[in-house]
Amino acid sequence: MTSFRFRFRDARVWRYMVSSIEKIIEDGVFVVNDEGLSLRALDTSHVVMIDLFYPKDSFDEWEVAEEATFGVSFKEFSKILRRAQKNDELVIEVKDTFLDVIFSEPSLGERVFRMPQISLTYEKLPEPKIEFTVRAKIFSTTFRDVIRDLEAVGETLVIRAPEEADKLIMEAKGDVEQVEIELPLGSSLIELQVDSPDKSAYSIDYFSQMRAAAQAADTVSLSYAEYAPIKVDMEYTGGGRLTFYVSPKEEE
Amino acid sequence: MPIKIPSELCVRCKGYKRLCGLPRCPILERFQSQVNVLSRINGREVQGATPPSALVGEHGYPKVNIYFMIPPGERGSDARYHDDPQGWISRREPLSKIIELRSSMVSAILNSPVNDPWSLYEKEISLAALSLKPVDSEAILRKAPLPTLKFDGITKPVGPSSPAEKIKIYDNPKLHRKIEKIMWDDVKAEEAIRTLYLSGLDVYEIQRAMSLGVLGTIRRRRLVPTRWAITAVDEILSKFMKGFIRRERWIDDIEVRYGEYIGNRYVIVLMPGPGNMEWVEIWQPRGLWTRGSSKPVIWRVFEDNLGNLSAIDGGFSAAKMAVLESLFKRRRSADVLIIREILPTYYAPVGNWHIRETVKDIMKKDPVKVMDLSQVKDIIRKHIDIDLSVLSRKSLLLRGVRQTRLSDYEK
Repeated sequence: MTSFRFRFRDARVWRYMVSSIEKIIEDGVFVVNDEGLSLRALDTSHVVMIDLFYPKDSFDEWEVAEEATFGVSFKEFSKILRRAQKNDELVIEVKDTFLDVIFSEPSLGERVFRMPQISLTYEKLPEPKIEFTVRAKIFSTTFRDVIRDLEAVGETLVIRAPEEADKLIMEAKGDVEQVEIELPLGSSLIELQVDSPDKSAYSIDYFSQMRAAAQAADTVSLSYAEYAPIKVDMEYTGGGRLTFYVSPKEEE
Repeated sequence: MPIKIPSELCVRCKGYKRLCGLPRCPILERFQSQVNVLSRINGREVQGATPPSALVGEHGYPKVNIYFMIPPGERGSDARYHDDPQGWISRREPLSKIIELRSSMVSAILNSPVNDPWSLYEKEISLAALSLKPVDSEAILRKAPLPTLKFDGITKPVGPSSPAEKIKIYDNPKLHRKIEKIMWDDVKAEEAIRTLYLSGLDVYEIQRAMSLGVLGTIRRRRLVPTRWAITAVDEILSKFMKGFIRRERWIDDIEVRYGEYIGNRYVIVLMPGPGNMEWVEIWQPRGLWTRGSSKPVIWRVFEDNLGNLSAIDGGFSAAKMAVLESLFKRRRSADVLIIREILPTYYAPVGNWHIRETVKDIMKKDPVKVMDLSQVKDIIRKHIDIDLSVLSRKSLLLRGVRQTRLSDYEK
């Protein structure tokens, strides 16, 4: 059995990421190797794919001798990570069938949570190949506010971009209410590239689940095309990246 | 001048949430006074076998009333039939018969704090109420009961009642051996409910166990108002089955089923999908909650495949559980649309058991398989009296918004 260990500066980033992941998939396998740490998993209904990557440079300590994997139940993992406090560093140590989640804070010392690994067969999933026609980048706070506005009203999020490429529009419709949110380029919208003025629709719930992960991210990139999956990229300090692919909703 | 209460409010409230702001529901009040009650007792002593039937009220929580019900003079299968949803629906009993059966039982009321289910246990009252067979018992009432009948949309009607001076249990209650065992297990109620269900107990038995406080971690046992227990059991089992189904293959076709019972018609549509569920109630005008309305009133609940609910509705929970049970047995995942039409002939709310049982019955039928939603709409049109454009505007699943899968995009 291999063993390895790595240390990450801000435990709360992990807490937020995993609390989003937990709501979408039940379990998954992390891979650690020469490049860094990665996770790719599909939810059981095959609507969402999660793709996480942290380069090895973003860790303060990286003791990984050879490629290895560890499987976790995200519900259990999240339960532990929720204990992360401000100023906590996170150390993950894998030994045999155990996984130690260690929070360390200089003045408080270490808290060691031990959880069992779950054995899962690991197969590398292919990344969805989509030709995106619209690409946008927004601040994570904007992303969270927009989702909160939309989820108050409807169940489906419709996203569109006009040809002029000066703004991105997101809307939701409920039984009687509707909401339309314009994100003009230059203020809440950092970047926008429109190859074709496309429109697509997605279930809002998955976006609601992403809000937690966005809390720790700096920016959120959205890439989509008409009637194709959307790619939601969260970029974290240190070069980490958490990507959600969400399959669209189509009207008959 | 009396205030006009909008029917939309009544349909959401069903006499329970007091959304109109009045202390008592005027519709239920008026209706209760019109129902005849058969009271076959004189004096203060009631003898008979409890079917078993017991109800924990919610008024006054955390000090609640426990209604222990006895049909005077009846024993054996006659007594059993006073609390037998599955028997009622298999014989297609009319609403009047159900009201008659319920109103001819007398309730002896005990009062207890919810955190003390043990004293009921010691008096064998909870055991009697969990028995598989009717249990001979006797109640001595403080005063002769008034001939009234209480209604509520979730629990079964409760007949004439009076505080009990004493309740005596004569027979030995016969318990399901799983309940007998789990009573002494220190496990969470959620887990206990799953175990009982998987060992083949019917939901009514589990509801009673939950309500009478024999499930859960030993030190935290509570009496649970029956109304809450019913929905809790439905939701716990639904959550469990949904989690299981999520991993299974989607069904292949769109399946449509239809059925009706006591003035309630249902069209159940299953379509390939990850497990979104939608419940649309259509209350026809001049019915129980729509007396003053000239148009049908529509109430809708949506639950996405991750389990987020737009509202808590005991009727939906019951129907949902019945549909999931059938998918669970088939090991298939589907998006589910349940349309329930309520006709004015459904004049009394007798509990949500009839929703659960009718839907269960419907799910046993062979479906009509169709190719697209326009054919689904044709079938709905045939069975249910509603303007399809109004319904399509309300229903997300009927609008044909289809959730695709990532695998659809792998080239």
